[in-house]
Amino acid sequence: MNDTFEDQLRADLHAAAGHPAYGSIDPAEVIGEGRRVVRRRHRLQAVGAAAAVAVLGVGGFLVTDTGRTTTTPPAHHSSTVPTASSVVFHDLSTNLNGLEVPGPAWVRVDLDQTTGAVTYTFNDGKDTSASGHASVAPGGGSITWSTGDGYPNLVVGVAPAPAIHLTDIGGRGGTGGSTSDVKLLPGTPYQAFVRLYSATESVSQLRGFVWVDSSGAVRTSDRAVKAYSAGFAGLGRAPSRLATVPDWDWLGVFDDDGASSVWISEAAGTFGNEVPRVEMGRLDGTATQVTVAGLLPAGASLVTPSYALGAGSHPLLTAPLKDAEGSPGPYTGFFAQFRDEEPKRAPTPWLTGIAWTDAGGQRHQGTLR
Amino acid sequence: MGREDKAERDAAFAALVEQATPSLMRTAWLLTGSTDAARELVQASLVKTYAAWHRVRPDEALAYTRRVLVNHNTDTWRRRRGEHLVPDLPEQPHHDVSGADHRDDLVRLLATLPAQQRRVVVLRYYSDLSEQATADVLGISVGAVKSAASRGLASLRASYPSSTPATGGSTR
Repeated sequence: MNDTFEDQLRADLHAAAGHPAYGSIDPAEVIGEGRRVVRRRHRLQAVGAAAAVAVLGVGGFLVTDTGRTTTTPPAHHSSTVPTASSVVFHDLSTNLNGLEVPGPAWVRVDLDQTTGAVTYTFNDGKDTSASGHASVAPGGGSITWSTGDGYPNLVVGVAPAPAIHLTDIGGRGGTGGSTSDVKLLPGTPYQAFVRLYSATESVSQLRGFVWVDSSGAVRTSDRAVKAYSAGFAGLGRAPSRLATVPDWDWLGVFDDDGASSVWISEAAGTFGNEVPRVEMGRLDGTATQVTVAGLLPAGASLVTPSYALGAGSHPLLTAPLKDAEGSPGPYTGFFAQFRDEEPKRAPTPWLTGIAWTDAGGQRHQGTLR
Repeated sequence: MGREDKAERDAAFAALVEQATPSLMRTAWLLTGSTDAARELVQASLVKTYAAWHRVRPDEALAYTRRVLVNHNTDTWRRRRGEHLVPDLPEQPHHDVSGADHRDDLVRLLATLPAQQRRVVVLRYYSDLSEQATADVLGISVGAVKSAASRGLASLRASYPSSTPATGGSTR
């Protein structure tokens, strides 16, 4: 890299950052809001303790250390669980787009390396409670997750490590923000994760998780729910991966630019006569790097795309989508990635139509939506 | 906690707000490209810091708040992005520009980077964090920082405005 350019970039970033008039932030306003967050935690602690007592006899929730006033997560007692691996996430309350979202002061995730038993311990700044009855395969490869008892905005879980592009699949058209964190569970093939959502509906409608494993296969958190995927060579260094989970009405593309560049479409519908597809335009210099991808029935051939006026003509790659075990599924994926030198300013589709011949030789014209 | 302790704690936090806000605002502006969003982001990060103030060491308060800010922005961006099939495209950069336009162009160029690259570029070349410190803030490996920085710089250099900017900030 050119040092001169880096120096110029540093100088220009400082100049750009110093340019706008930002206005000030009133410390009293922040402190007032912060106090409300703390008070709300304490209220939640009271509600959580009451709820814990109510379900204690049912067997799904154990209350321990009630009355503890520490905010420091206790070290795991190795004498009682000698093979446990533990991590702690601190201070999960947050403010998302102006909305105060309550979370525990800390959450500890313990994984017994021998049995795979998982225990989540929550602390609200005053009391501590723990919930168990979750487990993963000790050898790796499985996932478990749970909503946080007393914390309706929280999901906590254990997933394989690595689980590339670990992505939550929720209800269609979900809104709101989330914060998340992930930590490796030392000495295990797993990682712990927490996600705090601004809307409780995002938790209640959460269907599960999808991720790419170390072999490149796309997996879901539900053994009964299959994901199908195929890799396509595009403009990135590594192939992009088109993936779908039909049971969750979900379609997406993972690319090689790290988690930040993952883009997802919660594709709606029945995969009937319409053609599900996703499109993405990302500025790349003065042009736009465009990705179009989607699903056709298995066995589709002679695939012919139609593009919007001025978008040029770009051939589509096709490949059968396979499940994590390599068995072909009911879809043929199509994919194209190209540079549009005259980017559109409005979010209108690049791909306007698609035609293909099915396995029986019949020609179809797909409807894009 | 006694009343005096609480007053001392709040006074220390108020001092942090006053001292750290300008720096946090500038970082947030580069990350969001919007003064309103930057202010919202900084305020939210400070509130979260206040709620954790009892365990934030004074000499690490700014770093702690910056980490909250960067990760807060990360997650809200990631979630918002998932809601759009075809996102709005930022305006295109100009190449015959004044100093003010150049500054706007730079922020606009930053917006074209994938979020991870943008965060790494801002932390490395604006906040002047080391690769290790950037990795710690973002919770990623040093290798991932190097990769994101390399790609981000390459993208920026390819479309960097050709005119000499009227830089008003510090140079190194």
